[in-house]
Amino acid sequence: MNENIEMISGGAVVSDTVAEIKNIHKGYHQHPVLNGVSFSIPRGQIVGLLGPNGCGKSTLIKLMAGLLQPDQGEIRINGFTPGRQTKALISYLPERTYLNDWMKVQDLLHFFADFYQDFDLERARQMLQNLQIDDKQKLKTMSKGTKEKVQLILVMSRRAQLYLLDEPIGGVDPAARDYILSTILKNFDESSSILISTHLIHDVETIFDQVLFLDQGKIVINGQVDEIRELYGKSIDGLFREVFKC
Amino acid sequence: MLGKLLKYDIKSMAHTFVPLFIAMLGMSILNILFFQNEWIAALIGGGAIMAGLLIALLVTTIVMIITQFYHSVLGDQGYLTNTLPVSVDTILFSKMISATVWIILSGITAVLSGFILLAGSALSVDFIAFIHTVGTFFSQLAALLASDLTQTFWFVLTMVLGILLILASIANELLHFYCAMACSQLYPFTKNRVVGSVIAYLLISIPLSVVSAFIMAGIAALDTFSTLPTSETNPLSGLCLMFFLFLVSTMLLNVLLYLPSRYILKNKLNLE
Amino acid sequence: MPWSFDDNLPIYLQIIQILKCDLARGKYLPGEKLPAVRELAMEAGVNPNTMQKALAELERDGLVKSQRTAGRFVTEDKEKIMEVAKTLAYGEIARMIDNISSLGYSTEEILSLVEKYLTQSANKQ
Repeated sequence: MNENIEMISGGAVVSDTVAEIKNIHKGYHQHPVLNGVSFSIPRGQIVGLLGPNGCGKSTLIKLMAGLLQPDQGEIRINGFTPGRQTKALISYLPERTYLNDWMKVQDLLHFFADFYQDFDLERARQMLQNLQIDDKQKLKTMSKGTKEKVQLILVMSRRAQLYLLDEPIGGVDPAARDYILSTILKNFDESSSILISTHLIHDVETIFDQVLFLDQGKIVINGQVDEIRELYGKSIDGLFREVFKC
Repeated sequence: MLGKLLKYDIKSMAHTFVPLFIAMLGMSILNILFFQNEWIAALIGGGAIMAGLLIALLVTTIVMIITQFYHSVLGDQGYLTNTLPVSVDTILFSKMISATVWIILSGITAVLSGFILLAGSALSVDFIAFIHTVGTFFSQLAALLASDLTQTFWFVLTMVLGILLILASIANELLHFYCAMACSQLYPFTKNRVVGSVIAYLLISIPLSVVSAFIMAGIAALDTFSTLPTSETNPLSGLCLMFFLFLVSTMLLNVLLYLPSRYILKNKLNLE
Repeated sequence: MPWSFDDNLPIYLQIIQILKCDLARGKYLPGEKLPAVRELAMEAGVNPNTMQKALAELERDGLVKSQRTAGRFVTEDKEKIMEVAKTLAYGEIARMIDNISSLGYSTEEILSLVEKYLTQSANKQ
């Protein structure tokens, strides 16, 4: 990797950091997935976690969400190590649908309102109404795409400190993708931060402040989007294709 | 938070159990109507149906308890359950308590429908006599207890210990399942998590039965030597002591199953 | 529909360019209130911080003014906006001249070509 790449670090100086990841190592039974990952997420920024499939994006996000424990290294979310406290601060959208099929949409709204103090019930209702999703419908009767939208609405209706969105636009049609991106932008506010992992960069890169390229368990590029565009004279997508050329 | 989680855990099993309970009670009542004048046919025919339903109830209860835990904690829903701002202890206790509630309700339903069946067949014989017999049993018991306070004390103690022992044994079975399923998060069980859980269940059974055998032997020895009921001690006191010792040893086993389950869910969780 | 961006330039620079065009075209009139940063960002499909950066740049150029509580307004100074339009027009002309001269035409030839084109298109209408 070229030396310039290492020089771009974080970009803008922001005093307040939502997440601090230091030298994280994680492997599954002797098979290393992350080999010393370090970065930080400043408050009020949308950060793209980019990399090919199987490069450790989901593992990294699961570690931050507290679903996995690191083998080595340290994670701080608002100063806390992942646990009960950080789970109240983080709104996590996994790659899978985690909703209980027998529940109705309104059961889910109450579930979220019961467990997350920062859940904005009104906002969620409004978004469901915009999509003409009936409160009384059971999840069992919904298409996969609708379920995914309901899940995104639940996640984005929290006033969380940090949103961890794992491949929110993977495998959806362009119209759905536009809806998802505008939902994310609409609900994002300056006091929170968003980490979005994706391997589909084109059309998405304009919503990022900062991007992290993850390759073979290491961060190979970390910088502000406009600085990278200025420095390399190419889009993040173009740079991605170059870095991960097969 | 335990209360909130418990509410959803109990609710999530209701949609399977409630229809089953209604079916059982409904069958018992239908049984009375159909075989009103032939009480032998009622007892045999109804009994066969009831036996089938009882087995269904038992199987459903076990399957529901296992799948509920697996789906909610270790399956896709685990992505939600394990990122809720609650502790692993809260999750485990909520699962245990909700499962226990449904086991008890299943038990009550079984007893109730058995009672209806009996009452139904008795109806054609002599319902009044049947009620009378039941009534006499309870009034005699009450009279016996009222006559002697010491007797009452031992009776209540035995009952309480008995109930606690039942609860502890239920918890023991549940924790055995949970611990086995938690093991599916560890290598090499991750290769096939369902098969892994079954193997883990069997593997855990070995030390579990060895330890229980030792405890049993210990209690038996203790019992023989020190608590032979004499004329001075109450006949129930021996039973009480035995219940108590069983209770303590079951709780000990429960802790031995709880701690590794908790450790795995907290530190070794590895969802698919 | 999000705005479309060129691959090679920083996004905030492209936003500045698009907003300048909007001002020159009169999409936003002098003294008019601009939509909030968040709304503009949503419309463009970009990060609000990037939109903020572009607007700050326009503010530095004196094209928009921000009033602490009321929001951002287009400058009242019409000349400034005409200046922007002129700069944009010059930019377009420069690009066109560059392209045509790369085909081998001289300055005089280009001038006569442009004149000819303009009279033709005027006649058509």
